[in-house]
This record gives sequence, structure tokens and C-alpha cells, in this order.
Amino acid sequence: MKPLVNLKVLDLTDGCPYITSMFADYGAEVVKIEPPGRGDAMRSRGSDGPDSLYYAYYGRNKKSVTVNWDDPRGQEIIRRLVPDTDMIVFNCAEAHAAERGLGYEQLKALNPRLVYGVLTPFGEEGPWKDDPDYDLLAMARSGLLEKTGFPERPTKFGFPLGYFYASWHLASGMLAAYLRACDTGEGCKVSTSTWHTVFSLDDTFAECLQGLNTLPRRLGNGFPTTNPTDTFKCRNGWFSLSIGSDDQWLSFAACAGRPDWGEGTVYAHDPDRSMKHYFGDLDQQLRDYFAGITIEEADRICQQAMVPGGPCNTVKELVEGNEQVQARHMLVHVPDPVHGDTLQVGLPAKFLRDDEHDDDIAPASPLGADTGSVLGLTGAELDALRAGGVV
Amino acid sequence: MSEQKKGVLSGLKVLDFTIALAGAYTAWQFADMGAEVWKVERYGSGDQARYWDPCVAEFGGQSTLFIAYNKNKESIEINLAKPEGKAIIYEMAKQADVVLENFKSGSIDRLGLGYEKLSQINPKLVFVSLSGFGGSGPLMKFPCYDAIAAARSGFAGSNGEPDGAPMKAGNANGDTLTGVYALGAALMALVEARRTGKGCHIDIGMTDVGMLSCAETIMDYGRDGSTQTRFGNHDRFIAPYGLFETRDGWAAIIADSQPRWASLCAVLGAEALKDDPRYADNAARIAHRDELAAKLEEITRTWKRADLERELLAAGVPAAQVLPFIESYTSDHAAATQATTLVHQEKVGMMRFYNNPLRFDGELCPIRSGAPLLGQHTRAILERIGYSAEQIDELYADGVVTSTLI
Repeated sequence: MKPLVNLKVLDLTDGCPYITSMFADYGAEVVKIEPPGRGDAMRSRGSDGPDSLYYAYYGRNKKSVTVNWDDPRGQEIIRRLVPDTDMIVFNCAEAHAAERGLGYEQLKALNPRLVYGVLTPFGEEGPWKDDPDYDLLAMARSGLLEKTGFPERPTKFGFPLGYFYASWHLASGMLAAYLRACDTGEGCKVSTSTWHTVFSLDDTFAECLQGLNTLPRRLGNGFPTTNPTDTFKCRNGWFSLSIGSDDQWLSFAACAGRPDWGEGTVYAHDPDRSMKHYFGDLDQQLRDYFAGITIEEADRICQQAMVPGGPCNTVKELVEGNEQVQARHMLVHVPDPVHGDTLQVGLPAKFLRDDEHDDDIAPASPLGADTGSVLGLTGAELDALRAGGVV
Repeated sequence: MSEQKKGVLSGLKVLDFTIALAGAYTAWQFADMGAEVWKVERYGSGDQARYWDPCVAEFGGQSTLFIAYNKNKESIEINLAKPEGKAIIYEMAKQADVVLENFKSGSIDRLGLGYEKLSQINPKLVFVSLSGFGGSGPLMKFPCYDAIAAARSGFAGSNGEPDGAPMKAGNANGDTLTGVYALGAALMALVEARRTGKGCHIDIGMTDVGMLSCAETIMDYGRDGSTQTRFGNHDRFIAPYGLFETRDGWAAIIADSQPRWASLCAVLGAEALKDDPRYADNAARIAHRDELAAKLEEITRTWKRADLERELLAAGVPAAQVLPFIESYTSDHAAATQATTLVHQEKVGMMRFYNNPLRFDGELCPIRSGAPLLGQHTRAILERIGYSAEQIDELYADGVVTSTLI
């Protein structure tokens, strides 16, 4: 089931495909408006030209129309599309769009039901509002990045986590606004910032400031209070263990064949285990223990004990014969006009009413491929706009 | 009160069985947007997160994390082992739009409260099940916490030095990332239900959501069998682009064009690097990425991070300090954008909460109340769904519902 089959979205974002991917993957018609010539910034991600492999994923299920909306004729083309769309979304301040005749009030006059989405790095007000828009910079200022990594240095995320959060949050807000617009006939502007999104889901304030009257420490994969919670190196890879209760710990100790960690020892119960005997004692014993076994053995022990544990998978383990990944349809093959068969990550939301079309994925449109058909232009009119650099 | 003040989802009702974080986060987002969230809690003890440390004596022993995750919700305390308790859920299901649950796999079916049963009562229901591994596959029956989802999904394996340890996030981000994805999915199903009159059951697994972190490296594998999944503190494709040590912490610096590279060298007084053929263009800089980062870091270590950020931004080079939480929290920007607000919390008084990051027509999502005490709204919700005062008294007397108020 594709729940959004009737939804029409105009996508004026650049370099942040995650918002409309949320809509496109689940059935909406997403028309991407891209600058003529270079196209969306993600088309050149990791590549010198506009044919990045990754765009086969970022652009999947989306149509491509090239329009230069710095040009008044381009602005008029977009305004003509607005009455027949449910949502429009930008990743620039509304003021920037309004200068081009595409502000919320201006478009609302053309379509009162319109849902108008805006994602900015830091918001549309405040001292940081004009600072550059990069996931890494918003993450840097959020507090989360400083808390992530071993004590020696923070660790950069290998993927744009801030954009993921902010994009999915904004997409959700836009869907909520759309639901209301269906009832009231009135749309609205929905906005958020990457910084605020990441900042506001940090537990530090509640946990450390209010709760413990302290500041957070960067602890690697460890945890300050409930232990053992850490990542250990086995003979052939990394393994994560996350013990949440005495019962789980005692079960683990039994299945690991370690009565010296079990009932009757100083490690048996919290808070003593986690707070008195973990750091500098039990943690070292666990490191030694895991160093002597394989991740497969560790996994078997945790499954037997029914405690949370698992290998730190990388792409190899996810792709090669991973029964869980296969059962969840989390890998899909999508034929791409440029790259041929591509291997892509699947869809995490499973709508269990029927299995129809769930994994149907259309390839990314080449830059501008849908310009004529979406705009309803042909022949001389299209040629003139093309010659003028408008489309 | 205007529509806006009530929230964009006012009128929507969420029957919420979730505990801990991932599902509670989804319910919290519904509540912030104005939906009525009925948090169904275990008779006598409630959500396990009520006991998560730190619990603060001055706050009546309440967990500060629980408070943070449960604002704007209402609590109804029901004994689900009793048939009369289940009957209350069936009444609520008639009026609800959404059900959220994260019981252990299949438990809610055994309770007689699963999708099969509730959708017979209300076919429009959108029923969301959140779990560690989803409702299928060989791992579905095993326990999973945030750190395990981060490990198994490839999320942790995507972060850190290639020859070092995988790294999870500094918060329980597997939980909240899944929570926000589930929110989107639930709203999509509501859109569908509105169009077709039919609800559905949604199955969301934390490890599936976490796998999106590997979107690009999965494509690398598909192209040429490449299995590298983490690339350290600097970007794979553009250099310089990453984290650099300073005198008093770290800064993120991005020179993603030739003019920005020149400006960066000018600000740092690194003319020799600019003219070095090994760093002549991006391709050359990527080929010598780590060596270049080390040379730049020799210079950035002599700078204070605030000075570095200011000078680089003024020169048009994207940069930001890696702010410790407290500096972000106390920043002028946080104050100017109303990132937090004071709200009344039971047993505490006025307490500071994060505002929801979403704004509708520029307005913040209103915070109507802090987190509920256990069973605080049992009577009010029962009244709203049609129970008489006498019936409610009887339910209390028979041990079907209660209000423990902890």
C-alpha cells in the first residue's frame, strides 16, 4: 500500500532531498524544480558531473523539471503550478522566496489550501539565521556532536543525521497541516530548523542539568548509569552489549559461563554493579572476555540469555546473506537509466494492509526530463523558454 | 482559543500504549501538535520510564527524563488483565484515530488488544507498532535497545575512524529517529484513511530506520563491492571538510570551493599550503586528505574556536564551533528563537521544557501541560468517552482503574 497516492508536492529544495523522499517513497507525486544546467546539488555528490550514483537514490520516485526561479518568467511558471499542488517546500528562508514572488501569502492567494514548508539551518530569526546551511554546522552547534565520540575527540557522523531529523520532522508537520487543510480548506506555513530539531531532542538538559546538576561527558559507546552498556572488540569484529536490568545481567553471566559475575558476587546487582564495580574493574574483565570470543559466539550467548546484544554490522554484513534484512525487504534493486542496476536501501515503514506496490520504485528522472510534460508546454513556447535559460 | 492556539491536530485522538522512549517520542509529537494523547499506563506502576534515573527528590521523586518525554499527554491508569479494563480500551478505540504500541512482539495480540480486534471496532484506526527489529524476520523475538539497533543497522558502523571502533550517537538517537519516522508514517496512514475510510497496521523497526544511515555505502557496494562504511572526521569527497581541533575545543570547517579554499588559507595564514601542488584542487586535496587535515590542525590548534568561527564566517568560509551543550543552551540564538519555555509541572512548579521545533504559521506549538502524574486523567478521560460518574466509581472500586498520582 502506498498511502500518499493522491498527494502532489512541488519540491523547490536544493541539496536536501530527504524531505520529499519521505513523500515520494510512499506514493506522492513529487515534482522537483531544479536549476537549469547543474540541477540539484546532490546530482553531483561524489562526482564531477551531474551523474552521481547517489542521485539514483536521492531522486527516486521524483520527477524533474528545470526552472530558473531567479528569472521572473520562471517564477510565473511555478506560480502556474501552485493551484494544482497540495504542498510546496523550500530549504531557504521564506523571505528569499518572497523576493521572488513565491512567499506564503503570495502563493496562498493562488491556492488557499496550500501547505508551505520551510526548512532552514538555524531558523528565520535570531543571530545565526544567515549562517551557511550545512548539516555538519547545524550539528556542531546542537550540542549532540560534542557529546558523540570517545573522550579524546568528538566523532563526526558519517551521514547527515541533522538533515534526516529535520526533514522527517518537517515532512510530518506538513502532513499534519495537510490533514487539517482537508477539513478546513485552509493551509498554512510549516517551518523548522535543523539546529532546533537536533538541539531539542538532546536529553542533556533533563538528564544532567535538571536531574544530576552536572554537565554531560563524552563517553564513547559507554553509558554513565546502566552497565554494562558498551561496544567490545571480539576476535573478528565489534560487538555491542546493552544490559538494562539485574535480571538481564544475571542471565548473561550464566550463559557466558561466568559464575564469578553472577548471584552472590559484587557484580550481581545495581546500583553497585554499574556505579561501584563497573568502571576500572568489570569493564576491563568484559573487554578481556570478548577479546577471546568471536562475534558469532557473543551473539549466540546474548540470544540464549535473551539480553540486548548484537554485532556492529557494516555494509558487508547487511548486504551479504543477512536474513533479517532480507525478511524486512530493506534492500531493493532499482534499474537506473544512467547507472543500470543499482542496489538501494528499502522502505522502513511497512503498511500492512496489502503488499501491493510496496517495493515499487521508479528511477530518478534525468535532469529536466519532465519539464515539458509537467508544465504542459511543447514546441515553440518551450524552445523559447529554453533558449532564454528559463527552463 | 483560536484554531492555531489549539494546535494543528486538535480534535485528533491517540490511544497510546507506548513506554520507554521511541514510541513515547512519537506520542509526544502528536501531543505537541494538539492531538489528545491518552497514555494508557500499567495499573499500579505505569510507564517504566517513570523510574528512570535521575529521579529527583525535590520533584516529588519524578524522573526528569520521563517528564521531558511526556509533556502535553494525559494519563489513564487501567488494569488490562481484567475484562472490564479491556472493555474500556474498546470504548476508547471507537473514538480514537491512532493507536501507538511498543509491547514485546505479539504481546498486544495476546492481550486481546491487537490490530485484528481493534480494527473490527473501528476500521479507520491507524495502528502503529514500533519495535527493535520489526514484526518479521529471525530477530523479531529478541530484545533490542537503542545501542543494539545502532549496532545492527549499520548506524554505529557508519561513524568513526575506519580502523577504529564504530560509534553510536551521544543520545538515544536510534529511539528518536525511529520515533519521528513513525510519526510521518502514522500521518501518511491518516491521510490514506481520510481518503478511503480504511485504516491500517504499520510496522516500524528501529534497525530498518537506522539502515538509512548506510544509504550511500549500500550503493557503493552495489556498484563495485566496496565495503568501507566509515570515513573518520572528514568528508569522503570534499577537502577540507570536517572537524579540527582548536585551543579550547573543536570547530567544523568546510572549504568546498576553490575560492573558499583560498580564503581559508588566507585567514589561517597558510599561504604555503595554498600554493602547494599537492593541494591544488579538490581532487588533489582528497588524495592527501588526512595529511592536509593534520597540517591545518597544527594551525587551528593555535586558535580559540570562537575566533576561528568568526573570522572564517566573515571571510565566507562555512564554519562553526562544536559547541558544548551548555553553550548552545545559553546562546543568544536559543533565547532569540524561543528554543525553550517555562511550563507548570505537577509536583514541581514552573519548569523549563524544549519548545517543539515545528512552527505553524510562525507560531510555536503550545505546551498546555507538563507530564501527567500516573492516572491523573483516568476519571476525566472515562467521562469524555461516555462513562457515567457511578460507573467510574465502580471501576475504581473494583480495581479496574485507578489514579496512583506518582
